Amino acid sequence: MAWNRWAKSVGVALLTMAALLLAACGGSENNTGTTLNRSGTITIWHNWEGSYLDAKKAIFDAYTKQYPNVTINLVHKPNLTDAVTTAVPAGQGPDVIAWVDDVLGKFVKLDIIRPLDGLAGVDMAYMNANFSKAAVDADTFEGKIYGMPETVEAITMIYNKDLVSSDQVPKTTDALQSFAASFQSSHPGKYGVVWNTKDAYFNAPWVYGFGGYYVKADGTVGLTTDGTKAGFNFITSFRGKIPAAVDYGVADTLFKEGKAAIIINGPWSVADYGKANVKYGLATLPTANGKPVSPFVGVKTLMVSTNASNPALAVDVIKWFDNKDNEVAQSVANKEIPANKLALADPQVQAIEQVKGFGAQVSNGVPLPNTPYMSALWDPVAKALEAVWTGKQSVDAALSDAQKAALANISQLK
Amino acid sequence: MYRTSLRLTLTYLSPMVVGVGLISLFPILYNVYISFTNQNLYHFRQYSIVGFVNYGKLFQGLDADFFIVLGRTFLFVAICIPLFLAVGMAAAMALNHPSVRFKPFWRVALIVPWAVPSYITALVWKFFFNEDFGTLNQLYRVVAGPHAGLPWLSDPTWAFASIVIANVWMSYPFFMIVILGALQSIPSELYEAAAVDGAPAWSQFRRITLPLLRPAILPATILSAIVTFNVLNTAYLITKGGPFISAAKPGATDFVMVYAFRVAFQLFNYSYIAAFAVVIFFLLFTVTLGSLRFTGLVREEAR
Amino acid sequence: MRTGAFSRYGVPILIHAFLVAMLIFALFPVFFVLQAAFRPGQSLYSLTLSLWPDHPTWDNFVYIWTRVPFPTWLKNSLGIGIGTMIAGLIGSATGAYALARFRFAGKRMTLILLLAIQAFPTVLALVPIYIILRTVGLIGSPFGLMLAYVAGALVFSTWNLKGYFDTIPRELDEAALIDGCTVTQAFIRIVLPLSLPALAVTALLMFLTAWNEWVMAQTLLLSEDAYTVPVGLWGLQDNYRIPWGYFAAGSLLVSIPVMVLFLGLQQYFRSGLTVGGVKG
Repeated sequence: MAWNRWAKSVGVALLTMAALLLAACGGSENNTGTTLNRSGTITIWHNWEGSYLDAKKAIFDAYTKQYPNVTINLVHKPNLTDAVTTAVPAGQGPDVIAWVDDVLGKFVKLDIIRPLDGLAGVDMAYMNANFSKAAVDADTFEGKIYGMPETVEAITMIYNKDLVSSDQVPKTTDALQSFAASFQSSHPGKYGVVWNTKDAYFNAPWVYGFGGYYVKADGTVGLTTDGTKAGFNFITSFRGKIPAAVDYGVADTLFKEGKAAIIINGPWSVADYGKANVKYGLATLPTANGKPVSPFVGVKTLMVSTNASNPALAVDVIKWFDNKDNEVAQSVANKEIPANKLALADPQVQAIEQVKGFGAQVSNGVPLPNTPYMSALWDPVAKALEAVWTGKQSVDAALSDAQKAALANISQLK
Repeated sequence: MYRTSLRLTLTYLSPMVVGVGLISLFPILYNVYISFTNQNLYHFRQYSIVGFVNYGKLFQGLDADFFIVLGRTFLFVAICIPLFLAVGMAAAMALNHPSVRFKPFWRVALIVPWAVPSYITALVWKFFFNEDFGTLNQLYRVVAGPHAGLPWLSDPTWAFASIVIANVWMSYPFFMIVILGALQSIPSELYEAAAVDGAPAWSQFRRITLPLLRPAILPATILSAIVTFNVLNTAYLITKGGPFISAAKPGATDFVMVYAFRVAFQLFNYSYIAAFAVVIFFLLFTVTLGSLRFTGLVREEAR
Repeated sequence: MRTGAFSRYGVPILIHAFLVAMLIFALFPVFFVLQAAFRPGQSLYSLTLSLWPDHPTWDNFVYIWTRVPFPTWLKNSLGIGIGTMIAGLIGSATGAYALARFRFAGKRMTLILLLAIQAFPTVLALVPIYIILRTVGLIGSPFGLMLAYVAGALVFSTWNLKGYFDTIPRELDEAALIDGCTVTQAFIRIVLPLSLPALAVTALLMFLTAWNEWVMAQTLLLSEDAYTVPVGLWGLQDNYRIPWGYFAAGSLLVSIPVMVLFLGLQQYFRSGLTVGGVKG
């Protein structure tokens, strides 16, 4: 008797769950609103904070002042990409997602973001007229525009003026190697140059600079090419000249405490270096075999979710955010490099030291790949770097293992 | 044991059953469903049922990642749990001893590893274990010379041990608390009677304390074993699954969940990971059932 | 008790030595968090063995208290923590009582299923939990999060309480029933007061489940005003930097309520069982 009742309640529960599943599997709401109608609420999920956020908020406030029927809701969301991947497929989430271009391809495939073509006057002509080529490339996928570029960033050499003068900063990869060695012997307990040698992002300049590559948009993996091998050999040549257990935090602390003359890091770090009383200067990465090396250029991008109820308005808002004047204002306030090329050319912007320093590097970089295939690469490359850095594998063996793993990952993605 | 009305029984049980059903049962059913589909990055919203394909991929060959990761995690749990128990029990017994004064102070002090959030303590331990600058090696250098250093995080075996150490630090308070609570249920008259009979302390422990603590320790151990098996935060924050000696193999601390997290959230192969999770779940489920039967805990209840 | 010199002095000395060793083991990492909180410049550590920063500062504490919505997060965390604690106590005590005292069909199955179901990893349960909460309309609400927390911690607490209830002689309940109490009254008046140590453990476990959890919180909470402390703190990092100073200061502040709670609860760690209650 009691068993029957129990079984029945379990049955009901299962049916309910099945119904929930079916509801969850249904598609998202239909998107209307392709004609521009400046009223409604736009929610933006972002990762900005502090004074950084203040400058951006001011720009959005100016928009809502001009169009009072629009409310712009800024939400600071930790672990943004995970949150978005859970919320949007379930029919929720923001209207605009502010992140970096590397997630673009993935979000397109996951049906999380929608194309901007044709909305609020945005098309390829507009993009090419206003933004640098790297930024446009980063925000286009399979021929369509999926995001508005905001700022660009790349790592470069940051040097401590108290430890090394600007003409002593090495300009070629060979010079970098000898600098590391000589600095270490003339300054015991200190290091000539440090960076996170175990991370695929931080070592992209060497891999791409020596002629190799990680992955192409069509899925070809280049880990076993000669260029990549040469890059890896260059990295391992620094064993002993950089602490064995180096990682981002260690390198960062070494530089802050004046124990490293040069660090290879990005624009996000210099504010703290200033606070740590390091007089820093910026220099472009050295050349390899006569050609400048290419770090990844990350393009911070604003994307529109497939759940946005008023996509045209969303595009209008982000178009406004990225126009010349607003980009100049943001740049002056936050010392970032604008993606808008008209803003970049503005003399006010050019006068900012960080913009000039990092900007010079950006022009030599490759866009941070937005293809989903890239996500199959971070892991194998990081593992290969670790294996060769700790000496547990030779460069050739590590790279061939990584190639195998990357190809396996990519086949899983398809 | 008494019979009561069904209504009363349901009233007492329903909060628990409904809550557990929604939050614990539904995800299992959901993942079972997904594991039979091909949901991944390229088939996210429109996916189709593909049958046992994912399960086939899991078991490809005896050196498949699955078995390596599984074995490693079992080993991890087998080492951690006795350590948790030993340290937690010792601490609880010590805190309960009559000769200790200012018990509140000691109790609060020893529960601190639990009070401070694990996301920061894991990172502190990561620093401790740093080969060049970590505190542990700095202390070691005091006795072993200026260039010595233990490879805490770069050697696979040492890294494994490091995670064990950090995990023991984070988990012993749980056992300490549970045992401390359960110790209060043992009437002191039992100890006094044993003392009058001339029984030494060790024998009292074995014959009185341990058996009476068993109903409390067993569920705690099983739960802790499950939680440790599914450890993600600590291992991921300290080693991210490394150290890796090859890009084609799991790392030394690539436990079940660390591995699953990477595959699911970095490679987006949701259906594969759902199959993985379902298999792991059934494994743990069976082991739990077995240990419950084995310890007779369940048999006693069905009176 | 054999009052040899060892039992009198040796054992207490050993015990105290052990406790001191445990103290160092337990507190040393936390001490590091403490010194990071007072260190300017957002570094976790200094590369030279220095136990205390050269220029300690209160800035980090001031910053998180004033420049980020830390007080709001704290309030939210407290609300959710206490809510989880109360709901969890009710849910597990009632369930444990039923399992310990009532006889009904399917009991054995329930017991087994309960514990074994916990084996499923939470991380992979995120998406289904999100779907369920959205369907019942609790997504983004602190109640939804509380439901998730309570349900997650219920099973163990129920088991633990049941074990404790089992040690309370049934004769006590039955005596009350004979005297005319209902089952519920027997539960509330007799069994619960005798179970204070186990209830204290349950309360602590429930609170802690909710207090330091961040994976589910950041997925299930949608607006900034609803964030709990772990979500807020974790959001302070961006790209590659973790602002250690703020992180440490926040983590320390967030540990204080736990210690206070424990200090309050640990007075219940006194034997609650009087065997003499049945006689006469």
